[in-house]
Amino acid sequence: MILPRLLGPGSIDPDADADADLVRDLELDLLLDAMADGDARVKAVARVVLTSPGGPPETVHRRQGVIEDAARHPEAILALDEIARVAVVPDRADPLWMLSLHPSSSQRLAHALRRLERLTPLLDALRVWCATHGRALTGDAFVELVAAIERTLDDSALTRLRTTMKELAAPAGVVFSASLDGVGEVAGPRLRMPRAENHRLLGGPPLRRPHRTYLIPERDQAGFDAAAELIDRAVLHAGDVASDAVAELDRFFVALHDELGYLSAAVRIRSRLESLGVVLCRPVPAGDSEGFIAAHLVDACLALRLGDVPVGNDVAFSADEVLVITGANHGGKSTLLRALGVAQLMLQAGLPVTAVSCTASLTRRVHTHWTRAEDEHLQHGKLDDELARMSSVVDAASPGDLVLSNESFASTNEREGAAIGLEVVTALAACGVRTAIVTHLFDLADGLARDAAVPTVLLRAPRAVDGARSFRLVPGPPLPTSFGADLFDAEFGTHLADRSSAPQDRKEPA
Amino acid sequence: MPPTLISVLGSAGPTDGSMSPDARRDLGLDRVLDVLQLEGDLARAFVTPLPDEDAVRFRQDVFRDLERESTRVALTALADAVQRAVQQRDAAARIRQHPLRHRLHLNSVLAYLQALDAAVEHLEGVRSEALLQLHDHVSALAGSPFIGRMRDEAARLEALWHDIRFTMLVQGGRLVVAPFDDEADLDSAAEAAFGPLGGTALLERPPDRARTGLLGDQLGSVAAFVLDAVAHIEPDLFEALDTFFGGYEDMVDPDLERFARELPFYTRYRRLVSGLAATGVAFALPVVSATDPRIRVHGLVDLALALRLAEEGARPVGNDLELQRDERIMVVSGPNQGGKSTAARALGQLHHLASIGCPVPAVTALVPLTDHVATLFPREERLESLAGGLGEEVERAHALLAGATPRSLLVINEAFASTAADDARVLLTEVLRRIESVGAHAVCVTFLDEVAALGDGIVSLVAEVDTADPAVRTFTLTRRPADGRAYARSLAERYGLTAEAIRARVGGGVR
Repeated sequence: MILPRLLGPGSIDPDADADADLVRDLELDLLLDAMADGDARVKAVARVVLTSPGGPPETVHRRQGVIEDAARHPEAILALDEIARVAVVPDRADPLWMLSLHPSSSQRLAHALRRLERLTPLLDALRVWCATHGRALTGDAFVELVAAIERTLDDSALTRLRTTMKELAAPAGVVFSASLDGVGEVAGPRLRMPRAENHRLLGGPPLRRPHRTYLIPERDQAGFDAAAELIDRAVLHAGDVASDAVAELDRFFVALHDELGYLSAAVRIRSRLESLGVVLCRPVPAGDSEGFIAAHLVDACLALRLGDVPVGNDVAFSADEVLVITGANHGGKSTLLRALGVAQLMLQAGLPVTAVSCTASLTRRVHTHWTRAEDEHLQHGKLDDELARMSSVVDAASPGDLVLSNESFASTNEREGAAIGLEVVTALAACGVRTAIVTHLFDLADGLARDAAVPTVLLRAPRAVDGARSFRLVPGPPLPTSFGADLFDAEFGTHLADRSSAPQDRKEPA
Repeated sequence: MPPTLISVLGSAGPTDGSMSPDARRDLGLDRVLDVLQLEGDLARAFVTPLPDEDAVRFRQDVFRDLERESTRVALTALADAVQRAVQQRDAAARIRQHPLRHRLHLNSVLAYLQALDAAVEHLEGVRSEALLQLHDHVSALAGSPFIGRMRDEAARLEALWHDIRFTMLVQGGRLVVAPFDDEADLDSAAEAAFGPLGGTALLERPPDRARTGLLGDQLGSVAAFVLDAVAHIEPDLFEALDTFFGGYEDMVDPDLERFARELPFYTRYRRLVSGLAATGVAFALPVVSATDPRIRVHGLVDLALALRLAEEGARPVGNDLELQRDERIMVVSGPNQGGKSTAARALGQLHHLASIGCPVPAVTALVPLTDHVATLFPREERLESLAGGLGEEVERAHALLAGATPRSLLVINEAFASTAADDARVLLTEVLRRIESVGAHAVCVTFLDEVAALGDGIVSLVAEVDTADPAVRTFTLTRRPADGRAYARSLAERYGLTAEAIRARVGGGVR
């Protein structure tokens, strides 16, 4: 059996470990919860789809198309999912559930045959579904799925399946041919169908003569064990083949159920965001050099949390440019970095993007490195912890990946933090890893801005004249202050900001 | 019949200088012996130094021949086949049921013949005295009319056995064996029915090779029934097997039996060498001299440590050591971090391994032929020792000196550490003076720096250990200036976050 592959090549394993830092740093749970609507399995599937390495542009187009199909024909999706749902319910009545972890091959065969009894009617139902709904769905993914089902499950295949199931049940004993191996053991057993002409009226063995019969004495337990072992070896191959087929069918139905769940979740999040008034676009997956270009981009997760439309920003940095975001505290820097990451992931997952327009190169993975309040596991010092996390980012990163760094290396003094940061960001850029950073380390931002070998796009969160902030970032070089005095003033009612000197005067030697 | 073979370990008579169990433990050679799994005569050969250069060269030549893979494979196969033939001969004697007994005998004959032929072919071009003799021996054997007849008949029987085919029915406790009647293949039908659902890969699954335990020491009732029933279906074949057994019951050449017992001395050590070579440890056949007292070794590592590190995929870093013609004693001092003892152990191992004709864990080595390697290492205090810790140690030092000759190597590690430093200095100085007067070689690890400056024959070395990366433990016997680095910078280095490290880890197109 084929896998449904509605979301592109590669299978989805909802039990896979997602990058916990990525989910946490981008606050993806807000998005995932809204998609899943309380279904833990759907949430797990959506998390895997969103955080898995992005595919080629065809995969994004395929996902966009299949989500479009789901939005237009909800009844077809529902009917198909009903079949998959029945198939994935575990069979509690099957005694194999109670047995050991290492069933014998005859137990395996028996289990496979019982499972097939349950699954064959669902294979019939799949064909009926194809006939009823197949033609209405026009996305590549569904067209391929319908064709594959009709090809694999034609009449002769289903008939052959039912006949073989009956023959393998072998109520009158297991018959097999064999030879002897070099140490006199029964070898190379192959299951056989006794010849019709060898069957006898009085119930003798249906084999050619002369034959010899042995009845194991009642107390010979070793003899009974040996006979059982002979049977196990004889049915080993058939048991494997049947079990593999069952496993493959189970994988098919589980994947189908998961992928259909994802499609419904995608349709759900689309209407949820629309109902909030967020502008959505169908993003364009671009070639490797384009980088990331978005107009009026907002953070989908922030919109879901606010229940409102956040301030949008324009961002554009090509694949060989480092995006450096500096400026006032609470000026929307982290929000923009998050919006960027979330948009990249949503694009790759085939979802709409919360922007007026969005074009982006596909990345294999998105990595985040956020400053943390405390050492999480109390194992290291704080700088130690930061460096260890950056080291795992470096381990996981490949050229073309996107690394989002938010106030990294702020846990040591400014000079050392900037020196380490400069070295890391420059080296990542030199390797072709796309990087966007938010930093208040002036030496780091300024060093990147001045380094001719590293092209940069500089964005700054401005400080409005009256101390209020617009959250809209503007192009501009880093300044040696983050306007912390503004925040202090707002809290304490002081006027420190007015007394501080002009930024240029305080600039330290780079 | 072919001429009698000499031992592949050499014909040199036994020496009385076998290494003491204490020294084996101190030098970590216990662990090496455990890995080699040598027993009896072979274990004795491993701990007993050879008497002269010729005997060393005799074994080194065999190791050289073993470098060629085809030679190695043929020798191992020959030894295995002979061992198996002997085992099966013994096993067949225990099994009463004749059809099986005869079949097992046929197996041992087939393996033996095949290995003989392979040995004749692949021992072409050996240089060592031991293997040249072996080649002559197997060639004569393989060409003999006795073997020729055995070969033809065994091949005929094997072909017949291979063609046996029958059909069985098993239902609960009832078994039926019948002649094969070309019944329809249900496995193929299952493949055809389930294959399209389960993919095609499963059709290429290798055939079941698992042993079933139907044949234990005791032939089970079911297996016995099947064999008897098949013998009933194929009476001619089983009669021919009976005749063959009678004609060739004991066919293993006794000289080859001995060869097969002794070969593991080489092959096990060779396997240890190639296992470690895979992790990057270099091995060499040392130049061993009975007349030249110089030591010159490059890239030496501690074999026991290398074995331990190999489990973690790491290896020790090799070091260079040298003693000139008039130098006899190395005194190793330095910080207490483990590198000193490693150096001393490695040197002790080097001398011993060289003296038994084995390759040593070094890039190149020139070593004097030692008559024995003895050690003086700290011991757990024993209750029965009346003299107490220091007294017992002095006794052992005495025994050490009493046994020393100009051809011995003495390895002394933290001697007299249980007494006051002044006492220890006096005692150790005296021991070293006596070693000098005997003219033996020694390596002496101590925390007493002054001892290193005792005289011309003594070379002082300071051990330093690189603690930055504990995975690569090493001993470096040189002085090295300490260098400090800024804290953050050195942390970044440790986490592999320097520019060079990141480039190396991420890879990709550098622009």
